[in-house]
Amino acid sequence: MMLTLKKRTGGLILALWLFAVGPAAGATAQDDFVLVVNSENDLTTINRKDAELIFLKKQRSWPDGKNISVVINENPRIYDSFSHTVLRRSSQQFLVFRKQMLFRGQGMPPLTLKTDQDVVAFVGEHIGSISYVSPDAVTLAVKVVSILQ
Amino acid sequence: MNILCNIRCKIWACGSVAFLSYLAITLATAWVNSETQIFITHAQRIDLPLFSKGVLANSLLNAQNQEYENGLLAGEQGEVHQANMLHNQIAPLLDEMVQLVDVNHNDLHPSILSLRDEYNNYYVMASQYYLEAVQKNDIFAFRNEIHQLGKLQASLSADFKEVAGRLQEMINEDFEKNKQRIEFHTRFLAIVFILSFLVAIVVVNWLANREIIVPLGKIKMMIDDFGRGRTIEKPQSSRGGDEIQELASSFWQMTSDIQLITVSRNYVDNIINNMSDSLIVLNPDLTIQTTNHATLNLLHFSKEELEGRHFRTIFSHAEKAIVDSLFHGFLEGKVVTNIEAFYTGYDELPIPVYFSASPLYFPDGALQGISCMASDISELKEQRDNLEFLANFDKLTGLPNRNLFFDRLTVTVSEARRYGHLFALFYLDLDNFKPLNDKYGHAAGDHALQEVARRLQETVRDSDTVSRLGGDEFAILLSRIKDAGETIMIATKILDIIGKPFLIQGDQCILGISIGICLSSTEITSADDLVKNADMAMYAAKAQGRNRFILFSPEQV
Repeated sequence: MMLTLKKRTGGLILALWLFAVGPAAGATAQDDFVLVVNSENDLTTINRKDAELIFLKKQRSWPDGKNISVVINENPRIYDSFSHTVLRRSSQQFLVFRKQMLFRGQGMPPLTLKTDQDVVAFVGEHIGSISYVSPDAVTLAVKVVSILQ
Repeated sequence: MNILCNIRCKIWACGSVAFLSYLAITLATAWVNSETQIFITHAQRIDLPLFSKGVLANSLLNAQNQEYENGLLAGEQGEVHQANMLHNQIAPLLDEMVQLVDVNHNDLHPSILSLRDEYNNYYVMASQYYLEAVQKNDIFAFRNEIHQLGKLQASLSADFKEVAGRLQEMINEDFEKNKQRIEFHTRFLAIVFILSFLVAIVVVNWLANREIIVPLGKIKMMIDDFGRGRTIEKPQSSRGGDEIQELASSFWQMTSDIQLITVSRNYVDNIINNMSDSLIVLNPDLTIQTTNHATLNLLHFSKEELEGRHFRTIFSHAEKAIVDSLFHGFLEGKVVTNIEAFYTGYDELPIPVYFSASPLYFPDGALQGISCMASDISELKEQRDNLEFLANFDKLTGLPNRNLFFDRLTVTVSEARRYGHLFALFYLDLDNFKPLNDKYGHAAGDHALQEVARRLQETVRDSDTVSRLGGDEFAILLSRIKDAGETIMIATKILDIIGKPFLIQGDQCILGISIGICLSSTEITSADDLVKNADMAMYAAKAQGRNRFILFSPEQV
């Protein structure tokens, strides 16, 4: 029993540490990524908090009821920036969050793609999808959504 | 064979009933304790281990899950291995729980069985995929499997919690049941105790009543009946009768013997009560213990008035001093036989008795009392007095007769001779008595003689003796005189008083009297001489013309 408690306490301390040191480690320029949705999506702006809920898979459908398909862009140039800006946590913390979600069976983790191009292609093909890419990778297949702080 | 054949057995029977009652209570307590022991044993061997294993398994599962999570999140294989190692504790625990629950809890058995299977399935997958994911350092490579495992683990945790909750409920239920059982046992023991106690009271009372109290009560009734003089029926004896029955038989036998003795005593009492003589039994302190009927008739006292009274009080006052000395003698063992004494009865008149007394002793020699016999001799004494009167007195006039006169004369002569005092003897003969007797009859003559006697007695002193010697002859003894002159004076008074008329049958009759007087002198040696001299003087008076007195002088001889 004590052992279990210690282990749990250890896990919590680790998470808090990651949460505390994350933002300082991933501090980057705010405009090196943009949020993108399918071009047919009516969305033009989004609150940061709404965006955070969507990426943490706590909100899983659009206002019209369609499923939200979240895509994680692992492009290292913008991944940390996105994580800090939108999610208010380090990329490492976000990773742990996703791992925990998967481990605890709380839900399938979002699709992860390696490059901006793969992301743009995927979002351009899937109406309910959302992701983030470098500003210069935006095409007509996708629509940039402004983040309201 | 009668098991209640004696008092010991009866007491043992009562004791055994009490013992059986105690045994019943003890058995009930033993049963209650065995029930409690069964529960405690069951709880000790099954429920508590099941519960503790369930709790331990649950905590181990949580620990294992935490290790897996830590391992996966941190990418540490060591943590995953440690988690796998915990399986070596969890799996046997679950097996043991399945075995424990197998026999005893049908309701829990499927749950724990499925829990074990569920866990084993989970572990097979977890041990494989978690390790591979960590080894690849890419948890998302097995996203489907791990997601599936996460769901399994959540379900498993929920099931473990449910089972742990049910085990907790089971323990609570066990204790609750045991509380109820203890309450039931308490009531049960109280009822058993009360019933046993009541049964013991009823049976012991019944036994004691039937076997001891009732038989003793019969003996008491026998004793009461015997005391009231009733005839007692012989108690029915049965084979193997106990001591009480023997006591009843012995008592009956004793009463029979006593009845025989009592008949004899009645007989003796009858004799004593019907004897003509008085019998008084005294206590050593001389108070009256008991009396017979003759005593009561003699003294005219009731039995109650006499009993307890001091014996002195029934003796004539004049004799009390003698009585005291007599009774001192009785107390010293002396016997008195037929002495004359006087009792005093209710009317306080003396009652002459022949009195005999003798002491009574206890077998050890101590004085028990004094037995006093008395014969009433009142009649005898009266007869004796009559005879004595007749022998010494004249029946007609009541005057001393010749015998007594000569007796007194003899005494006077000897006293005069001794002391030298003077006395005189008168010899008197009525004149003309015969014609009066012939004329008026003997009754008139007797009457005249009585009158003469009365007049003579009036004339002399009380100390003098007037006697009728026979017929119309009288004599007077003047026991002490001063001189002859006194004699002459008395003689003159006699002539005077006799010379007064007698009223006989309406007629006044005159009688005379001739008196011869003889004075005592030193020469006189005997009474006969005196009488002779006086007689001579009297005849001289007759010769000289009657109704006169002549003083004897030696010259007349």
